[in-house]
Amino acid sequence: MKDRVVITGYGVIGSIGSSHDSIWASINSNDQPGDSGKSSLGLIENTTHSPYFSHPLCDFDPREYIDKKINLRAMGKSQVYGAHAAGMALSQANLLDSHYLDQVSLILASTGGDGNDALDAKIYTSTENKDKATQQAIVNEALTKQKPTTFLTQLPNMFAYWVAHIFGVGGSSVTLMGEELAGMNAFERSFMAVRSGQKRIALVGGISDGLALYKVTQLALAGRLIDDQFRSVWDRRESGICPGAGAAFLVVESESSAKERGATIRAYVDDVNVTAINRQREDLCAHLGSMLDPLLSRDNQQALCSIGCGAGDLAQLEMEAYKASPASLIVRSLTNYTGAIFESAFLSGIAVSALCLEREKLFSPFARTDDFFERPYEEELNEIIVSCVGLFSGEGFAAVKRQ
Amino acid sequence: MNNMKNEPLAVTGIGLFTSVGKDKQSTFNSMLNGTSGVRKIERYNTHGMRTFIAAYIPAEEAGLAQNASQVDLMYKMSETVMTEAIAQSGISEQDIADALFVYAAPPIEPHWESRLKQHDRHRGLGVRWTLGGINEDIVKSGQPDASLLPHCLNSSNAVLLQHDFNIKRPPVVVNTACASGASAIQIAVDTIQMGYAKKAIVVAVDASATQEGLTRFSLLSAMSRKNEIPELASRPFDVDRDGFVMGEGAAALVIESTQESAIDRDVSGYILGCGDSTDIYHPTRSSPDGGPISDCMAKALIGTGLEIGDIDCINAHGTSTPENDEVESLGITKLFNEYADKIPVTANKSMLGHTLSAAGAIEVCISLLTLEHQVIPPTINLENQDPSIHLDIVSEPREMKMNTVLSNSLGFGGQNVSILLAKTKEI
Repeated sequence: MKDRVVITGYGVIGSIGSSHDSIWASINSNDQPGDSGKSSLGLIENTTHSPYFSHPLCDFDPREYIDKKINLRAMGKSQVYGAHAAGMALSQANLLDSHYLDQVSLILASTGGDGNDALDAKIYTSTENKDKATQQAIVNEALTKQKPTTFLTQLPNMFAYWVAHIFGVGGSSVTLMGEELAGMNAFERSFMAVRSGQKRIALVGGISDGLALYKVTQLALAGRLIDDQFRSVWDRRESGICPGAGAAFLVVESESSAKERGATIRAYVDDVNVTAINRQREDLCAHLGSMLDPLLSRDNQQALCSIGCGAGDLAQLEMEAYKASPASLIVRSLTNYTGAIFESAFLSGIAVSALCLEREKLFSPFARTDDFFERPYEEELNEIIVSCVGLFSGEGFAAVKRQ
Repeated sequence: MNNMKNEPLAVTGIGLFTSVGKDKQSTFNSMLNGTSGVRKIERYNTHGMRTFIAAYIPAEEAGLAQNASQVDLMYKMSETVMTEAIAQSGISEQDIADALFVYAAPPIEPHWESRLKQHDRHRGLGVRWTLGGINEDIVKSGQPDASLLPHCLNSSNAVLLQHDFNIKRPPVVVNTACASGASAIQIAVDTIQMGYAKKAIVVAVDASATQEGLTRFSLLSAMSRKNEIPELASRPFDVDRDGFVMGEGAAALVIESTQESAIDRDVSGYILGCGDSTDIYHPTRSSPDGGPISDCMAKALIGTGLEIGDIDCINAHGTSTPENDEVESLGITKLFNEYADKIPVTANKSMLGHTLSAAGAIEVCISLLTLEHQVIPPTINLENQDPSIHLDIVSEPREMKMNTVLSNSLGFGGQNVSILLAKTKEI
């Protein structure tokens, strides 16, 4: 029998917090924006990218896992919070400063890197009322005056460099891209590599920055952001999303490796399935049902943690698929707390599910939608199915189990 | 690193689109003639730019309108090379549907020309974009344009290609900087060797010769400033090299397991092994002793049954930056010792420029064509070989009997990948 795949460490950062305890508090807070637009804990607000709602990154201490100032100065913003999540996961897996780090492979899902919001705003302002040739010359001049290091924050795989450099992760390294699909692919590849025995331990992570001005602007122009009123994912009718920023890391290894190291097994994962169907041609709702079906258990009460992009049109299809399933799932949207976190979404869903299994309780409903969705549940759980439906493409499911 | 015994994998299809040829044969022929694809950039106003040459692909050469976006250009080049590789491979529609699809590409970002065009459109309606908030009039100023979405997503081209070619599996999009194309091949090889796929289609593409792309690398002092005579600017291993020249292009490979059924079609060559190493010396600089590069090449040999004396040719990363060429040659010397100056080394970037995310896959394809035709394309512009580089750099096309080529890709962020290729399955 093949070795089972286990999770021995997980780290998450985002609007929901930067430590296991702060995240646990946030996802049990039912923190919703009031009339002012800002929620009391600050998980959701609508001033930074007014008039749109977004999930701001929490305040955190970047020195907690990155002790050298020289590194912090050279790193981009998303690289810093991404490395924080990596540090959380490695620390929990008892791998910080461990001799096993040489055997740890990195599989990352990275964003296109940090934008430079101040520079962008300056270019927009200074090119107004100019002809095309003058505009291009202004752009050239503005770009040429950037600091050389700015570029290094914009290379997707530079994040892998920093994780390897700061923590001494010495195994092979690969960086994937592609929004939600990248996070799903990264997890599936780590799962396959550990399951097949090709790798012993993988540090798999995702970083996303849905709050960069250039991304928010494109999403706004494409009509994919929500304004007006913040509603639970399941109650949204529009196709807009509420972006967030964050990172998630998992230490994925074989059960025998974890036992040999004496590491605590925090969760088991036996199944993962990733697709990218052509949504113009195929029925997404039926497809989600067919992905969910093999994961359903007749014996155990299961929960489903949805961490999709949160667009209302896609969420409605998810609801239809889950309602049609033969099992009476307890469904929660983690996206309500985190926002759309693209590359880090699927991994955050798995990490938070592992946290829930360890704390023997599912996180709180954000807002009860009906008798089925987000209904209260206080009992013990042994299994959480994580689902992720990407904004443009990508559908992923994984079953996270306590044993 | 792969600890399993390697199964040689067959490459049954190759597709190329470069600045010197729109398919594999014309590219290879141009390279044997020593043709450079480097030229002055006429795509946009280069005023104020330190480097304004590149081996770029004008959109009209790809059959697109002159003002086509880089995203569209990359889609078109990818589609062209995939079509060529699949046609050669002769794999069935079912095989394509079941194949793993790995796609190496640069991150997608909206370029300034299109951003300013959007800005102008909205400004005409009384809207300004500023830091600290998007003016809400943006949304109310016009109909949202859903077609903008693919132009800000890294998965869009890969997913469109996946659907247009009727591939069922989700694409794996990879970016390990200048090693991306080689990493994509390594992912395909690993997946087949782990037993999770029998066939893979790998595509690598880049079209980064934009204002943003050139300026960023200029800021790192990585680019040649020999703008006067563009075709002489890229000169790997030459003493007068002063930086790399950016290139654009695409490559595709169809890679198949040879284990379950004998392949009764033409095979371009075999992938015997892949090695990788992570160099954490510096974000953009290699360890000065070439150690991680040497390790990377050594790992490509593991599980192949071959030794260093069995390597017939090295297709170097050879960027033409002062540092890369020196450190790569140190890495080669460190591993190959007494063989180092006996193995012919060539650098395709002398003609094709540095095609960044596509380079690793383009150079693997050129290496396979090298084996197929038994002739090594030259490293052009090698007028005075750097005296500190003690390697046999091939400066004229060289016909010779070869069975193996080792292709190196070394990326920013310390990502090194080496791929060992062979003409025949059994050595």
